[in-house]
Amino acid sequence: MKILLIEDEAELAEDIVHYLSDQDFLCEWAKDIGNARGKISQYDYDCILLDLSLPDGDGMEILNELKKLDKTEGVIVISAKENMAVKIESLRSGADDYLTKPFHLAELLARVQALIRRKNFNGSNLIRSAEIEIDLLKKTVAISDRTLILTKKEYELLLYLIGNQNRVLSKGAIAEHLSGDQADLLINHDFVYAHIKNLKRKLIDLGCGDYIKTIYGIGYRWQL
Amino acid sequence: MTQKLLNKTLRIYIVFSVIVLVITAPLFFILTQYVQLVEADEILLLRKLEFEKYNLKTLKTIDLEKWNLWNRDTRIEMKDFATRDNQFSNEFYPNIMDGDEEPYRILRSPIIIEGHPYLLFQRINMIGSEDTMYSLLALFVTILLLMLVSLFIITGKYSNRLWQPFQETLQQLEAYDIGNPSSINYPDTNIDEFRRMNSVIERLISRNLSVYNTQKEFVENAAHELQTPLAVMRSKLDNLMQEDLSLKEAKTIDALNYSIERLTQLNKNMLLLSRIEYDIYSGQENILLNDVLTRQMDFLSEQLTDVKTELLLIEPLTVNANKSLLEICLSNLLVNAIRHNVKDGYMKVIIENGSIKIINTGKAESLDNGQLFSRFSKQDNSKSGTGLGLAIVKRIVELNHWQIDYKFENNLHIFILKFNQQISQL
Repeated sequence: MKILLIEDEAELAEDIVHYLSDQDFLCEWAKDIGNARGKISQYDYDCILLDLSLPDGDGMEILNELKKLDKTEGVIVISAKENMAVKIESLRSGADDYLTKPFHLAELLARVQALIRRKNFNGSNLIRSAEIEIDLLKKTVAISDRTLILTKKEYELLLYLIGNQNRVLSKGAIAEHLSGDQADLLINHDFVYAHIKNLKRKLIDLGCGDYIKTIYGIGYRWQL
Repeated sequence: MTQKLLNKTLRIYIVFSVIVLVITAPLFFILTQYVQLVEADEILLLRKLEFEKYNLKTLKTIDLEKWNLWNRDTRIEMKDFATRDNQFSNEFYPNIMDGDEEPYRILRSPIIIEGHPYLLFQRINMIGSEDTMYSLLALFVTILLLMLVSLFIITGKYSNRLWQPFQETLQQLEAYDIGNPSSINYPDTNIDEFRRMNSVIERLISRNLSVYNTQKEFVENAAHELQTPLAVMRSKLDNLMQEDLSLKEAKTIDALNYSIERLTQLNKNMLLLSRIEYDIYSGQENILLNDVLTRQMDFLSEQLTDVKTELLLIEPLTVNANKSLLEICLSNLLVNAIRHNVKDGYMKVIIENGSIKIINTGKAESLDNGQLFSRFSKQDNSKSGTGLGLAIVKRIVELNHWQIDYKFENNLHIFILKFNQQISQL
């Protein structure tokens, strides 16, 4: 999977490239619009991560450029602008998702995976990790062909953990991900522990291996 | 205690009129009395002259007895004391009707009849003049009262018209909100003071507005500029977390994570506060509060273990508002009620009478109502929260012309959000 990151902040770009590359993505970096235009015209990407405030112009230009070139790349806008109007405008101009800075790298990865899955709709809707099989369309989980009944939050948690497999996820990142658009109502991260505990028990009860590792003081990791 | 300018003016009128009345009434009384006395004296003197001219020459001492028999008001008496000149006096004589003593003006003057000195005694009844005086006094008081009443009515009516431009400006100023400025319509007036006031207000407002906007822009820009370094910090930590860490390092990272989260939240709230008024939040729609609250309470209770929550939907309540702002407003209130709660406490949310009531246990003393909604006024030492939650609530409430009240009853903290508008839900 090829990803193009258009971001002028070198430090941030470096971290994103590093995190995504570890998850078997081929990640290229363009630091401005000029640079990005060159890459877009030459190559095809599965996903483009686009910052809006770039030194040589507005990231919106890239969205228009993609439209003009009739390209079908999925675009996730990553911007410091937490502004409903900008959000709506970029979604209208062809962006598929919008992530406000600062964000967790795990969240970015989850969004990239979701976007690529949506784009390759004809491909597989199944995610497999060890003996676990998740059907994204039916939203069901099976362990060695036995159905695992999960709550909505547990399902999302499992998907998030597996998507970021072998990476440590902080409690905060998980809490934010699970709260979705209700992040304003987050009081503390304690409820993450309860969900993890329940999920873990349900998995083990069905004879699944214990893949959720607790990283003391920080968070959790799906470890194969 | 404040009072209306008009009432104050009228009060001064009343006090002044009473003082005038109290001073002038006796003066008037004394003056009329004096004038009547002088008049009576003149009449008496005139009669004396007429007596001297027409009667004195032909009068004989032998006729005196008869004269006195037929005249009661002009009598001739023996001169039993040395009266050299005319002598006036006030005396009382009984009247024949009821025997009451009546006031008379008396003139005694020395006369000579056939070489013998006599005393001419004349008297005038003053009863009639006393009555005149009383009616004059009554008239005087009536006129004064009438004038006072008409003054009241005229002042009341006229001053309302006179102050109209002032009232118009004042009303607009009262409704003025610098966060949501509307242009003020200064009424046309030819009164110099009002013109001056209007132009001063206009200058003041435009200056304040520009300062306010500059400050708002500054806060917005500052908050915005902080986003990128925050993003870098967060991604660095996310990558650092992947390393094999010692317990001490893990704890440090956890603390940093927590701080960055708070900083992010604070930044978000500052941005929100500085741009709540913007057009980006202008989209309005009808929202069923019951649904919004049910969803929010579900997520809240999911997070809670030591605080019980209860949602009482007495009636459906629909509000016309911007959905994002309404949700932010409600979630800030709910989170506030949880955050300042106590272990094993509870929070109850009730929708009734077109308002939302949020009741929660917490610190056993009332919060300071004056400070409650101001920015960064944390009233307990809880470490969580940005100190902006209720300020944001207040801003949203003001913007929508809702009403929010806080009270402390039976050891419970109660917030009431009144919407002052209800769209009937059929």
